Amino acid sequence: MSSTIKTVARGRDRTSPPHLAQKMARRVQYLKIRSAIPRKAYLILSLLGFMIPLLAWQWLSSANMVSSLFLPSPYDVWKSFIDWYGSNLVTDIYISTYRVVSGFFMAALIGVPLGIYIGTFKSVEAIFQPINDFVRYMPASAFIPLVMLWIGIGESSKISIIFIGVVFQIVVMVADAVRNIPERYIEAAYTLGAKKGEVINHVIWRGALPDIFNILRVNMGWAWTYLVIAEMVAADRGLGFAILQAQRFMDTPKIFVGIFIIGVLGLIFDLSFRVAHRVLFPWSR
Amino acid sequence: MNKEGVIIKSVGKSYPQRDGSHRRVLHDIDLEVAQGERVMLVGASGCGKSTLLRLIAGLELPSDGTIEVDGIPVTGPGVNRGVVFQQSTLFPWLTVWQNVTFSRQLRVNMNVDDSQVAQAVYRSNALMNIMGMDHVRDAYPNQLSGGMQQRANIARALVSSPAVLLMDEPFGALDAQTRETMHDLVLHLFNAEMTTVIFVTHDVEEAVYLGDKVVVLGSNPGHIDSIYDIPFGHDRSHEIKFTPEFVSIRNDILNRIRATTGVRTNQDALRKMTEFR
Repeated sequence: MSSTIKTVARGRDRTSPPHLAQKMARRVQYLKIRSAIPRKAYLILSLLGFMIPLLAWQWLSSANMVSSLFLPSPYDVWKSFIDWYGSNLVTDIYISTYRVVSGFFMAALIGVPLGIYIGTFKSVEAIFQPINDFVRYMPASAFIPLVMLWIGIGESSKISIIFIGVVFQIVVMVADAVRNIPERYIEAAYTLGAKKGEVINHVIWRGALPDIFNILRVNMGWAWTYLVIAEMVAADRGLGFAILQAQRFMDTPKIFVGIFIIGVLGLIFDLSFRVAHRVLFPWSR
Repeated sequence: MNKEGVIIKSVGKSYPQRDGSHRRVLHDIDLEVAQGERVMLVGASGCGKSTLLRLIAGLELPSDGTIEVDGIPVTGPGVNRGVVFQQSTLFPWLTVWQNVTFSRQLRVNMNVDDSQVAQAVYRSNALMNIMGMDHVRDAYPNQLSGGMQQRANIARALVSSPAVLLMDEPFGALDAQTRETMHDLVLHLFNAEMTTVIFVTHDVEEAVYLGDKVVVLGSNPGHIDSIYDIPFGHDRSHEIKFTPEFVSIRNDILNRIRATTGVRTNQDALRKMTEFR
């Protein structure tokens, strides 16, 4: 038996020299399906993902291939950022964040429980799911005139647009997450003496919580994308309003700054959700 | 009047089909399981042995007949019947200890006094200790091996001292060595408490080794084909598996199961198939 193994090993040695074999073993496989890569390599690649478009942008604008009206240089954008920061950027960020978070929070407050009941009871599903799917495909922007008519032009109208933008998505996604809880956990809870309400509290809610958390993270991102639309409704402050205003005055650098800041804020919220998920649900993969 | 044990009286189960007809999976099952008795259900796959266990657990209700546990008719799942399934049902979001003591936070246990709480905690701790799980108390289920998960499932099912422990192929997914360890562990545990057990398995050796009685179920629809008494007493060890009595009773049961399936190789068809080679 051992002699066979030796023969095989020697045979392999002859075809590939040892140093080459060692090198092959050490090489990280970047394009192997689902294979992990070193953390450092991951960071470098992520930075490259930002740097390459930035460099391409710098090169495009400095080569004077495109008019600065269409594509301002990174420096112009930076200058615009400093100007804006000197005037009222902080207030704009504050008011926009307030609108997004409020709209999102209201949507979660209604969407999560509704989704849980839709995913748990067929009768609730029959009442709400078809109409939810019907409204879900209506564009939030189309509701602007109605929202202005019904709610007016105050703060609540902007919050309402963001609310309309995400609440229906939260409902469907949470209902699906609840349906994914394996039946055997529910049966086990019953055999341990749980009643219906306890099954909902201790099994369905607890089990779906990490998924619900992820759903909220994704929808927070969508809430930010509805900001500009929301601030079309008679706003006088806010990031989305500033972008629309800059468009009117052909202030392209400011449009860039506004878009970037929304991106950065979204990224910060996303990362916070991810970190919180890891801390709150250590048991979930 | 409160007769102890499990009494199954002319129980049948059928499922409605899409075309309006009914598919009968269990027919006229009569079975009495005395307190402290270990009854093993074996039979070809699809004979309805798992369905029968689910009926006793109250997870499904019989179409005909009645099931009583300690004189109380089964109308749904309840704490007087502990259930262990083949696939672990430990809640992944709770630690092992929180899983084992899960039922303590439920309303059914809200009105217990301090001494009962102390007793329950003592029992949970003792079960964890017997199961050799003290060192994984605060681990989450996905950090445990399959064998450890099943130990926790058994401990959780036994915490509230159920009248009967229902097990549905609990060791079916474990490797052979772990299964043997689990066999001795549950034997010792059952001996200590005189637990009443109804145990579904497809492993006849397991059935003979663990059971007082082996019930062979026949198929189409599921019915009780035969019942074998296992004459080994409660003090058993692996050596008995090599005794002639053990081997012969195991072979009898295996032959009986084979007979109930009624599947024979069609020699004619086989000949025809090979003729055209």
